[in-house]
Amino acid sequence: MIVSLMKKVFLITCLTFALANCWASSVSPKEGIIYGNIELEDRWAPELYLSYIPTFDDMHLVANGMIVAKADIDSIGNFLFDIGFLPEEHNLFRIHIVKQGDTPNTLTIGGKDENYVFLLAGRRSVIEMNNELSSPPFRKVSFSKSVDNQMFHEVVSMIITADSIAMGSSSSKRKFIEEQMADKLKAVADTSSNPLVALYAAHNSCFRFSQGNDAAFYRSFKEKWSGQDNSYFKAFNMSNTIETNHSGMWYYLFVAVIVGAAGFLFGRKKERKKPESGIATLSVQERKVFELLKTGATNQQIAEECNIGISTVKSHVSRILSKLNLKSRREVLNLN
Amino acid sequence: MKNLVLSVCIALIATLTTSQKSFGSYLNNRKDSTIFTEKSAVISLRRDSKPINYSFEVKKRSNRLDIKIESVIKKGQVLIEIYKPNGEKLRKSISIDTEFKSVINVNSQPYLVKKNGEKINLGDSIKSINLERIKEIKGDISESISDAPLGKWIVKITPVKASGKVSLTTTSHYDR
Repeated sequence: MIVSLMKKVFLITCLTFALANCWASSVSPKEGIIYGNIELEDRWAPELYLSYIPTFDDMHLVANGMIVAKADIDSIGNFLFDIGFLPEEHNLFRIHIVKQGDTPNTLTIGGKDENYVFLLAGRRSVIEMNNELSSPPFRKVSFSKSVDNQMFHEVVSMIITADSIAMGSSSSKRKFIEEQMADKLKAVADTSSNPLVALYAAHNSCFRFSQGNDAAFYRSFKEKWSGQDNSYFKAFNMSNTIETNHSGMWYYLFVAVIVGAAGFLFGRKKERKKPESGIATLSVQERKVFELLKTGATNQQIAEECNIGISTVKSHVSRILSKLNLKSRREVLNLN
Repeated sequence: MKNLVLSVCIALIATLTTSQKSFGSYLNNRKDSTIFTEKSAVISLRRDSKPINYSFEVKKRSNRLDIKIESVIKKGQVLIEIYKPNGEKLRKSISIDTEFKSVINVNSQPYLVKKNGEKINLGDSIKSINLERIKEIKGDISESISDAPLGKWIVKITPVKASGKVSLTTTSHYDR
């Protein structure tokens, strides 16, 4: 009796589990897709084109052979790109629309007809892209399910906004805005875990390689991403070479080795798990966020103070906690 | 009592008439408070066309400067850039290239060719677009600048064996 009851329970459990699995696989989106809902005015054709952008210098290039996929927008605005054919690693793409009757190879930069948005995608990406009815059509676009694209879109928007503010400003104000923007971009370049987001920020930060901290920043940026062998990094490295004084370089290398060895010996004697030692590993932006965390600031307050998005704040916070070997932000408060 | 109602009515009508008049004159003044100057050109490009510097002058402080560039290119490469009077290039520039191909056809099958030469089979993703039939490329720039710097602005058009046309319109909006 008991055995047959146990058998029944086991059978029911197995069936439930199998059904739940089937349901989950049918509901959750598969890998390699860009999907979402797009609201457009009637003047636009209900089609989206996906173009491959080989380098950041080609973002405003329009050519015959760039479109790699097309998706129809249905009557309620839904669309789907199957991007399972793309390379594994992230590449830069542009999604654009065209007006009714226009050739698919139409690009409008600026104004109410600006018809494109950039995104990063790879074979396994699952990207949800939605917009609200607006003019230009992608002004209110948002990305979900892809932190990298949220961050990338934030950087793109930041550059456009700063650019448009600077455009109508006096030269001194413009210089100030550009410097502020360069600082923010360098912070993103410094902290982003996605190589293309970091590179795009660095590409636009307009830092002067031959001068002081910027040259140092550039060197450390190059070193950090030295493993990247894609066309984006190659183009960036080719267009931004820094003059190196070789005799000086050997001197700095020698000093670095001595300092490193001394630091290693000294460091071994010290207790390792102190957060204070980890603070030195924080980037400039992370340190700023860390100081705000110590005051008990919320993500929203930090986002406003640093003028960055909530998702960026979250990624900074998780990196800070990991670098300082802390489990929660409450522990940051206890550091005071 | 009647007199009181009558006088209130008259006062009300008088107030409404006066305010309507002044509102109307405000609207009229507002309509006339800005003027604009416009300059436009259509440049035809042939295979042997040399780089062209199209210039326009912002002579006095304007509320807004609108630059609209529309291009239709059938063959070749064209780079369009806008330069401020101080020589600074605007971020908005466009590059059109009918020869550039990231996507090529091998045995009627489309492939994406990356910069490192790697070929990726695009399968059915673009079969519904007949790329061979696309005969022209359109590239437009639209820029609005408030308080535009005074002086000579330049739109630099650099064609390389290009055929097509570029239309330019610049409009400066001034206070009367």
